[in-house]
Amino acid sequence: MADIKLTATSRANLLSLNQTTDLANRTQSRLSTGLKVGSAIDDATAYFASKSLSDRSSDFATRKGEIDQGISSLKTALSATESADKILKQLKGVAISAKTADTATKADLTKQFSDLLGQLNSLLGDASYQGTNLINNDGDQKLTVRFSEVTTAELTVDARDLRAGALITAGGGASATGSEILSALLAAANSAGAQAAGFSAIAASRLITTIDSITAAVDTAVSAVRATASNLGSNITLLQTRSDFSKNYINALTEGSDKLTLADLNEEGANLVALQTRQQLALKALSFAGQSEQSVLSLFN
Amino acid sequence: MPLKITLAPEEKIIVNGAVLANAGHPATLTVLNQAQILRGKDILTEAEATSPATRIYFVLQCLYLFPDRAEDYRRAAEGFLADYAAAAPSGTAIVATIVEQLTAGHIYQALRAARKLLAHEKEILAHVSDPA
Repeated sequence: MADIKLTATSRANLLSLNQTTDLANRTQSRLSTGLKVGSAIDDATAYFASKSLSDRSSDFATRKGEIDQGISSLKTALSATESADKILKQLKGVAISAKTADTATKADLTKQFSDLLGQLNSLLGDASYQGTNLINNDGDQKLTVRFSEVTTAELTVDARDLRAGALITAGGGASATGSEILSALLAAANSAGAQAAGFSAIAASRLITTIDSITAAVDTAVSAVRATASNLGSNITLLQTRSDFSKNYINALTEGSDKLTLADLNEEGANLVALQTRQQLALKALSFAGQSEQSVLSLFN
Repeated sequence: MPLKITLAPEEKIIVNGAVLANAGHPATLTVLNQAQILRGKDILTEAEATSPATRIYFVLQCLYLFPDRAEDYRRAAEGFLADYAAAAPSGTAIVATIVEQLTAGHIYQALRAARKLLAHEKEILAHVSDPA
């Protein structure tokens, strides 16, 4: 095409149009991503620095999700311990009222006592979260929450066994049923050995001491439950702190990543000013409106 | 769906190309059918269309008011919108809204969205120490 001569003016115009096209193409890809640096070709250093920040941020977001799940798991266990505490208080009440009850009522209270122990066990059985039960345990369950990808920072909460048989150790083993535990309690407290019939089988002379030793056993159980609750509570606080830290850290990482890649207002301002000038100079007709339209619009001056 | 318009004294309005001014007391008009209506305060004259965003608003306004030359105005609008998005990627979302409305044939909505672009441009130019 050497035989086509261009005047200096049209050369300059062509050049400016080419540059405009380049700019437009470059920003096309920014448009699709909304980011100033959309690929490694734009600005390799900023791109990879930003990518590593945003990767780390999303790793942390995953971890934060796990921490929050851990909190939920512990909260489930904690609320079950609170209910267990209430049931144990009821147990104590039942035992104490057996001191002054008549024979018929004693039989009734015996049934209540075993039922409540059964209730306690089934309540604990229901307190599992995502397959982990931290308070109804055969010893192999535990909750492990990892805090970050990089370090081995983690929190392990070992499960505790709050089943009636484990709390009240008079006999029958951890998985004993309510009536087995009651029998064991009565046997331990009542050397006469008449335990099967419950409260009404206790000899009058031994009634008070027997009931007292039963309530003492329940008190011990209550302390164990409260110790567990306080341990769960402090672990929840710890996880909450970690979760807050992760949240702030994720924000900081995201912000840092954005700073590297998001369009910068100063630059955009300069671009707009340049565009303003270019639009005035480029080959675009400056007058868009026809004569009749202009006269209509001029009425609004 | 009638449109109720209250005009202050001296206020101007354009209805399907006819420029009306309120010559007397405050007046309330009801427009009973679809028409190209624009209040005087929403109208930009060509002399005022000096920056990238105001040019966009101006050609969209012409597209709305003067359908006879819709093709030219639409082409000009598309060019200016592309320029703007290229210069200021942070306005992409607004530009996309305008393009979407244009494509759907909702010229008035596109014009409304372009008002946001005017605000956007103003905000960005405030970051430039020496506005040209």
